[in-house]
Amino acid sequence: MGRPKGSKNKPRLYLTGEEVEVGKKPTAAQRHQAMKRQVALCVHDGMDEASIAAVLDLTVEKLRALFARELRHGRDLVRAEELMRLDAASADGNVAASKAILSPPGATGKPGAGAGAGKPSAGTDNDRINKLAFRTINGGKNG
Amino acid sequence: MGDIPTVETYRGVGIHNHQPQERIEKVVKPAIDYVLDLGQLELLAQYAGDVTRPPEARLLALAKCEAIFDLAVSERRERPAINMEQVIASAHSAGSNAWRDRRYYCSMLDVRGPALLGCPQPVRRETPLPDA
Repeated sequence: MGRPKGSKNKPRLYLTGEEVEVGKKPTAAQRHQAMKRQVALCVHDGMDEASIAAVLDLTVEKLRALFARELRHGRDLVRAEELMRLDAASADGNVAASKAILSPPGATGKPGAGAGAGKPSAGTDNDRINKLAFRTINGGKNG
Repeated sequence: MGDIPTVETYRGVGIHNHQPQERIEKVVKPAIDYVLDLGQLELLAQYAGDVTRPPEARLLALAKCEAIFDLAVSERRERPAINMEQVIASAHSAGSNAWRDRRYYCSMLDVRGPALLGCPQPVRRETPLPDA
């Protein structure tokens, strides 16, 4: 037994509100959503407001007015989305995704890696950095 | 570009020649101690480009910046949000003998603003360096 034949019983693909139908112009809300994502990615990449405004062909004032949340929390928004994707992949049995979620903060894809990148937590990290720095100085990497 | 000759090594860092022992003890060594304890990349980068600091400590700060960056690369972490080329350019010449400033404890390539406008200036040498 299977699904009965006939056009009425064929599975249909329903598009969610955020998806753009092929051949149709995206709505204003969809365009705004895409721009939000773009701003958040630009903030995550470290671009300044003037550069993002130039990319989106907006004035800085308008950018600040329209995307205040993304400008302020862009890094966290992108990171949270990536975490959601990792979680979905982990639920599907992806071991690498599970490891990435379970790895300690500061490792790949975990919150705090961006803000804390370059901030050694305490003595041990600083010792490692000092050892590497001595190697650089004595090895003449810069010379 | 040859490196500046050193007269001694303090905590793994070479101390440059042609400076009085009093300066080495009171300024250079405490500065090296300070940089060795410093862990924040932003502060290290700022220190590396500060012309008022001893060149030995600035070079150490630069090496630590590079070490932090290299660690992030090797551990496949997110790269620190800092322009390493700019940091290297700001401090790299401090170890060059050819570009060593004859009258100040810094490099001739170091960027310093006009003293009249109150921009920070490097420390003047007690006695200018002899001509090469």
